[in-house]
Amino acid sequence: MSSGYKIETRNLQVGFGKLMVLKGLNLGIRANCVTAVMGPSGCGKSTLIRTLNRLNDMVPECHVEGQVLLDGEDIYDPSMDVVELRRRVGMVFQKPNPFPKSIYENVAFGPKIHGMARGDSLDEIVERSLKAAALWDEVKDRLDEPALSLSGGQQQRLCIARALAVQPEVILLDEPCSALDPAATSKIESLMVSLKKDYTVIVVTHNMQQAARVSDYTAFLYLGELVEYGETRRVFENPSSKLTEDFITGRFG
Amino acid sequence: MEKARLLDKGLNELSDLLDEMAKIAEKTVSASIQAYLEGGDIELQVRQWSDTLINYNNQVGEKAVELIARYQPVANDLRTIRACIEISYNLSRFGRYAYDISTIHKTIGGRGEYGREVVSEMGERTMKMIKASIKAYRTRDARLAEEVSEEDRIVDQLYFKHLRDCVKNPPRDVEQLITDVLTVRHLERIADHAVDLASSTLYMIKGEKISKLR
Repeated sequence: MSSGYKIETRNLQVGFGKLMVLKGLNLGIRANCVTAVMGPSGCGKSTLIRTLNRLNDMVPECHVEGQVLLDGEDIYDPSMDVVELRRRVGMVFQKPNPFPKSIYENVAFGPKIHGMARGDSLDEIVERSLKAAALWDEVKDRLDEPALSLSGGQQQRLCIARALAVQPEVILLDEPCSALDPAATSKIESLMVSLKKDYTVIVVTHNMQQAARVSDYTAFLYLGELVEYGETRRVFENPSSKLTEDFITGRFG
Repeated sequence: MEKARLLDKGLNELSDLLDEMAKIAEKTVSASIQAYLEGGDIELQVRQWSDTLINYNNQVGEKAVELIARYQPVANDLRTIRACIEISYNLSRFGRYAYDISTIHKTIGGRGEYGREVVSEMGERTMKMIKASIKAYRTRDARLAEEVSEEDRIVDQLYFKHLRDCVKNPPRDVEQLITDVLTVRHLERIADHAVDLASSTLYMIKGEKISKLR
């Protein structure tokens, strides 16, 4: 790991058929930080983070060039174990998507299929993950109830607990609060900040104020290119690019 | 392509308030220096202007807080709002020190020839700094803003030279000594506030303040 980055993209180009979505991205993501990726619709934010754990592999006609390094190792190398990669780089989506199973089973699912724990230690993983996702106190007496009986905000934290249960190194969050009310949003935002102690957190958001609140570093993408990337405080106080300035101050379009 | 934003209306209101304050602040300082040099009791008038500036400064603070709460401004917008709060405060301080100058004579008496020259020169330079700092803000002129702090060095030199002169060669009239020293002291403070105003302007434009390397 020569670069010192947890994840680094080098001249990353991603397209779908003839459409080029990411046009040569060089981005270094620091470990134990929250990095926000923002930009207008269609700029390539979601494509970028879906490239970081190879979710785009399942999209027909998707082609990836350049490199994505995780701890210095190219995740698109043919020798890469993709299942293991997705354990190391977990993902939470815009809409909460718990399995139609119990709360307990949702969190236990990953450790079970990865053969990580049995019996008592599985209980421990479930408890630890729900605590880390700031959900334990609300569900500890109803672990056998269906996950779908939880509120939207609780479901989203359950999805985060599910991602944490397999002990990932990186958590990708794609618009994790856009389907949530302000109170639930606030909880997830606090959670994102507390997670960076143990994980590297990357969040895609349309909500610039959310990026400003939770992230240490902010990347601004526009038309598949990295327009600006730097410390969040600087990007929001004194952006170096006019395009960033116009976007974050709402002068766009 | 610029589009109309709700925030812009509020920023324009702030800008209008500052324009009005700048006009009053400038004439307040100018009138108090003139009264010192030429005589004439303008204490009441200057007091009224100074109170108006304080009132406007409060309005700027209220409006700025409202804009932050409602629109969560960032980047240039955020820097502009911070600069407006600071500039408005500096303008209100111009008024307050001008008022202090206008009351010295009545309080202490003693207005003669001794400090006339230094008050005149410092007054001229201070007025020049006030005008330049306001113009730099209005025209978003970073270069002019930086020049204001250069001028301040000369005002500081004049101030300290006058203090040393007073120690070395004090006038017989103690009342005049105090009146002159207080007046140049107030002018020196006004000049410092002009530097602060210019520094806030520079921050608004470039995101950095004037470095105080003196």
